[in-house]
Amino acid sequence: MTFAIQTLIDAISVGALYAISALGIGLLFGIMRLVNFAQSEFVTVGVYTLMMLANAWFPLAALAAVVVVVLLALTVERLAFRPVRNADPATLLIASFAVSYFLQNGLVLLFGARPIGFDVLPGLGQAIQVETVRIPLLNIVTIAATSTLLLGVGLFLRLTRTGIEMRAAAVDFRMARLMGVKADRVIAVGFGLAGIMSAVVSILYAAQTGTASPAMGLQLALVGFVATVIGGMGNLPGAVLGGLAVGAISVLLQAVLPPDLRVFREAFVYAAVIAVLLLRPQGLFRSAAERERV
Amino acid sequence: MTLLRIDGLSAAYGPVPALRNVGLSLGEGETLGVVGANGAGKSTLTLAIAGIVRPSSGDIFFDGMSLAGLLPETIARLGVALVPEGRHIFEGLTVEENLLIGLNGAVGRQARRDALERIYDAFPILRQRRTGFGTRLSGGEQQQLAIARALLMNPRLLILDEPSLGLAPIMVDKVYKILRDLRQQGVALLLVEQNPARIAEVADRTVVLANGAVRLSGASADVLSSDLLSRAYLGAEEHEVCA
Repeated sequence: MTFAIQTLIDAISVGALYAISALGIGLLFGIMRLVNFAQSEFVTVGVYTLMMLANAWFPLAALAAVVVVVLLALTVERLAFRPVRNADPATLLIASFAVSYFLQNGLVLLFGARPIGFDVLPGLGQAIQVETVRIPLLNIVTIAATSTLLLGVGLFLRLTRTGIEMRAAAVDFRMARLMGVKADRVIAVGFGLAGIMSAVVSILYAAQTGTASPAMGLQLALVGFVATVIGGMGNLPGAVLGGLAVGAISVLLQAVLPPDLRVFREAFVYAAVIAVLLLRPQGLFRSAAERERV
Repeated sequence: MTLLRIDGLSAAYGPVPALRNVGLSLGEGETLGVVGANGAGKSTLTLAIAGIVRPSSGDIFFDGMSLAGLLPETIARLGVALVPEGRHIFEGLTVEENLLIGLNGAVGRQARRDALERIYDAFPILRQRRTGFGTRLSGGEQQQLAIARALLMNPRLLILDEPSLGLAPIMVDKVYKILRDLRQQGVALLLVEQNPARIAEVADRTVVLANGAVRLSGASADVLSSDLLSRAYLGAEEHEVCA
């Protein structure tokens, strides 16, 4: 029982991190059919910012990470993606790889390719004992931070005019523009949001791993992409659920697989993804009710 | 006073020409019907006016101003609203959220509320369904939502692409009733239909497109009763004008 609860908390905490990555990817995909692999570097740059400010007061370092990553995201949009905005998705994908490699190698140039160890909030390493269950403080902070962020983004998308425009643009960008929704603004807000979410992920990820290395964000972006595929491309709640599902499944597999199969954990996760693509190419979480009536 | 003027408009999808030297005009408060067979270029014409399809030559003037090179959202904010074929209700958005997207002009919470209330008075079914998903409405209700949403943009020109397509006859009646009301209110309409049967109910003048070019034009009653209509539909070589 204790083991089950601990695994569940782990699963939620990893899943929540993946959910935010997926929301960032899903939002930009919905709006501009861009699979933004450069989001991995948004996270990585955030981690390096924290590393450089490791000795500074933490709230200041965290704020700096958010500012740096949001500025980076907006700059990338303006310089790299705006010129190819109307190109086909393959071109956008290649552009995103180019940005990703450029930033990654820029980090190698500046800081070297070796992982650099540092401590973000060392106090989070402790655990709280509830009855027989030990809950790492970091997991609690991760779950609290990600739920607050998801709630915040959710409320923004649901209650504000810009948020409603973003959701409309994510499902039918052309129709949204025909109704006067400004493409530049929606896309810039999308990148800004992806930047904020990446920065929060970078803070939590840095606290978990305690290292900065140039390629560390890739796994998150990859999982984020997979999660949006599972959730249904362009379906934002689906992307969040997809992220939670992928995170939870990989933690559960880690817990239940026999030890000699654990190294193949990712293979099982991606096999499940292939199954989803074959059986429900429209995504797991697209309800029949939401689809268009004919 | 001319609201919309199209001069020598041509457009193509790659090597395939979709519009060839199309010219037409529409006065303030006037209703123009555009009919033609499938593939005649009707939808391309609407998308070109709205700034989605870039013409290869020719120009479009709205209220005397050239629309060349303007973004779709800029054209929309100038007062051109397009209700495209297939309605394009935003999935995952409620009826009210779909309507809110149209409210670009209204500044302030109260102004938005008032505009919504006026629309709900005109389309009571939308008030009833306002918290449900727009895509869960029936086809006729979705068409009403698409038109209502466009009206919230306060358009000076409303373009409707096949508003009766796929609707039950009773719903077509309802949509045409709405169009007649709009016409009485002085909204200029450009009404595209494949089936010309009912276009004379609202359109003052009608043009027939075939193979991307205007083949027949004139007063709706004359065009639609003309012996030339079926020839024009099938792609006559010459542009004929009904006197």
